[in-house]
Amino acid sequence: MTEEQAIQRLKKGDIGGMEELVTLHQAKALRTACLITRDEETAKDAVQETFLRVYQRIRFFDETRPFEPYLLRSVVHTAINMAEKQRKEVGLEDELAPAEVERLIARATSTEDQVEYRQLKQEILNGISKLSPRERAVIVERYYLDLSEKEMAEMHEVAPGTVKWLLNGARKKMRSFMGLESDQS
Amino acid sequence: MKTHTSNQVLDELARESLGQDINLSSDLMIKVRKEKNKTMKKRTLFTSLATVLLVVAAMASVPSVVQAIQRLLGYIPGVGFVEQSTPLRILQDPVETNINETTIIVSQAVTDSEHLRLFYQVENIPTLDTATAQQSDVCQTLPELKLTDGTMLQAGTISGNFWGSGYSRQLEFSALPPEDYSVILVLPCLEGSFSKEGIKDIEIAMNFVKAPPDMKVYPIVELPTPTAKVVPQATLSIADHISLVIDKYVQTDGQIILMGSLSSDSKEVGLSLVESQDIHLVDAAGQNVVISEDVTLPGLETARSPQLLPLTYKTAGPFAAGKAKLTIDQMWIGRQANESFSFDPGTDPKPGQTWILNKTLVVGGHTVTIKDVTKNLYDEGLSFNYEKADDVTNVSLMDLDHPLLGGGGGDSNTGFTYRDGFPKGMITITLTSYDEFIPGPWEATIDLPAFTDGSAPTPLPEACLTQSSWTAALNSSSMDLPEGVGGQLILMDILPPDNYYHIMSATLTGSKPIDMGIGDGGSLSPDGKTLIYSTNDGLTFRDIASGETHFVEGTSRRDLGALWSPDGSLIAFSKGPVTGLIGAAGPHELMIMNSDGSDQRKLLADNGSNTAQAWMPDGKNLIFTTRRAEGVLVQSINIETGKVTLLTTVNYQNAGIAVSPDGKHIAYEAMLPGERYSVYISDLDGNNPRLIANADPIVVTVPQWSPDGKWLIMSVQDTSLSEFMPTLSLVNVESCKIIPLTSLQGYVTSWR
Repeated sequence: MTEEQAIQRLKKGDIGGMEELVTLHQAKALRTACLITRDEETAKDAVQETFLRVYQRIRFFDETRPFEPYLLRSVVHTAINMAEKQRKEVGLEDELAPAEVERLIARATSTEDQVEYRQLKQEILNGISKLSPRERAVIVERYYLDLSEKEMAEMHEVAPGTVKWLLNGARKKMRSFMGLESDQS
Repeated sequence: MKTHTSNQVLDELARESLGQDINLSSDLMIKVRKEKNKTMKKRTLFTSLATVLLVVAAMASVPSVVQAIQRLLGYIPGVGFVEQSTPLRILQDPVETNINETTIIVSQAVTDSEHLRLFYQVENIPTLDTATAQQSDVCQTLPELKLTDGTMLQAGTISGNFWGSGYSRQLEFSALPPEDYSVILVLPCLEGSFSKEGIKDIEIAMNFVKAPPDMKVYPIVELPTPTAKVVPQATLSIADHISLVIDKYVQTDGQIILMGSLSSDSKEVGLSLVESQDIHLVDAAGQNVVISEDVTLPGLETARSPQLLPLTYKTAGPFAAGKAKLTIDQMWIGRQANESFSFDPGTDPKPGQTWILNKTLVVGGHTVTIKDVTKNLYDEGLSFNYEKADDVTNVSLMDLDHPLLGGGGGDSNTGFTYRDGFPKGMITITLTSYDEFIPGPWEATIDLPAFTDGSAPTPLPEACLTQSSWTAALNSSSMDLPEGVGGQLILMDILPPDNYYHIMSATLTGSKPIDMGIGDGGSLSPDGKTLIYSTNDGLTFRDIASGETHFVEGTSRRDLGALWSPDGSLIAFSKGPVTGLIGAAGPHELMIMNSDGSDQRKLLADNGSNTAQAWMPDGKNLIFTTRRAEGVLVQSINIETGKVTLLTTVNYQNAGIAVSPDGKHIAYEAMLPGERYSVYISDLDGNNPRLIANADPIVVTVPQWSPDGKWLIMSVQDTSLSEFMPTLSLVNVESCKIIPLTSLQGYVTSWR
């Protein structure tokens, strides 16, 4: 069954179409959600919730547009909401700027040293964990889903400059984590 | 130099954070089924149409007057619409690349001034014979296109088709620069294969040439500007503001693609959706013509607005040339509204705090009750639950006094987030829009041209079970079981409270089916004493008399569809991929074991996506299907020699096959043009097919033969009887007599 056939079947009320869509897309949806929620169970809940919403609203889905971006945008939105409900209060001193995670990602993409690569991955993981869910979502959209800033701005219905602000605005929170002085941010 | 992409880095992190082999499908499908049960209440029937309906007829003139205008746009089957202001460039020759056992064929590519579209197919995806692979190792990355200057073009997907051992895709890229005639298709990995172990970084060089002048590009025929026939109205209804126009078509060798739009002349009426069952085409002979929306074709209308809904439908069945009428019975529209209420969240609203509202708003004659609102935890927003009638959905609630960061919701909930933090004081909420299901009809008349070769396609023969014969059978006073029809059924039905599939034992007499527990795919031994079925833990035996169960050692949830041999000595089943990963490439092996579960051995392990379907009565041959791009191969395998014989092909990838007790016929599910489900019977080799069920829009599936070979039992998804599970029905294959079994629901997997 093709994705289009699955959607057509689902629109006809045949939930077998949904099973096909789940099979095709759950892996990337789970990884996207997990990066934002930092918790497997919450990620699973977020993906399930998203698919349920897809089912409820499938008759309004524009089939001329690809399904995966539509799904993953919804996953991001749901994962943010769920992660924020799960989030424990985090003091400012524990938070990190998305821009610093960006730098770590940039270093990880260029190093040829496997030891350094593994170390950087761990730092990225630690860094992402210290971001707020909304900030994690910005990182995920930009660097995992490969959305442009323009697409991200459209997705969040904000001005393009706001995305830059989201990536950079919390930079002053990163001092204790990175051991940097405040004026460097 | 980049050694990893950022995408790869984050992908690795994500997969390292997730457990292995997570499959949400089972749990999620239970929730979806519950949701369907909850929401698929019969939609309110529109018993009264608007007193006077304005019918806007788009009258095309007689065919001789219709001018075929060679516009800049044309249509190529398998490619779509192409823009022809500059010469088209096409793939010089199909390109085949072989890597070990795997074949990649780029069979078609066309670039116009706007897009490059290509179609490729992969056969024999390499598989991984280990259970240690992780889900995240399964490749899901799309190819890119490398231009001569090194620029990489990203792919968008138009369609995809996966069948376990292979897949095909149609992709769309930005157009090739005018000076480029060579390009490289770069596949980082093969979708469904394993990124680490599998074939990686494949580069396929493709050469383009200018399309020859005689290349078949079907013209888009423009119909004359339709004339609106306006009936004077005292009062205009909502439907009066909506017009249907079919103003273009493309005639290919086998079908007509109709293009047009619904448009609204009122800014207060947006156009959301026409459901597929609500649009009909009746030809000049008064016959219904099967049409279906072609989701791979974008609408040609460039101006998009809420007041314009492009329509692109293709014919799938035969039709008579001449004046045909396209009718839309009812549709979803978007309505604006401005009904408000206020509530006081108090001076210190807490995250997670809920306020019971029960505010009733009346919009356009519809009542929407806002039940409650909750302040989101850590999210500076509000979430609402609401109730409304079935002909209203997609209610939008907003706080117009404060900037919002978007929002949205489902059929019974909605919400938004405040951009600048949660406001203080009273909050005023406004219902700003909603979708409404409204009756038409809207009609357009169009002259359908004759087929280019002058012939008319052969119509499908009438089926035994059609929508009308099914309805007649339901209304018949005589539904007694014929003599000699009996025996024991094993079926699958979804039961509360867990909403999993349960194995049920049932008879045709209407006695209450017996629940034998959670599982699927039950097969009863020929002596009727033992059942074997699949569970999440593996294959399971159940002693019918005592109810005792025990697992078959060495099996797992990958083992499905067990089938008892006619003499009861053997059991065949299908085994899913060793990795057990979702969406991973096959193989699906055919297995066989003794009737006590011992001596499990592979019957067929050929990298194909194979499914055991039925034993032949001789007990020496097993019928199985192998998925392919266009459906399944129906084959038999001799269990002693392993010899495989191709019997026939069926055009549906999930087709179930049942063999008649005398071994001379098969009953099978197939797909009719226009994505309509059907059931056929034929000789074993596919000859002499007879259409048994074609009840569209009712879906009929899963045929099983009666022990005497005179009847089929099938699952009829008639939502007027059950909104959730199909109802079973008997159909006599000779007389076409239909006996609905309204007390039985589900899918029959065994009949002894």
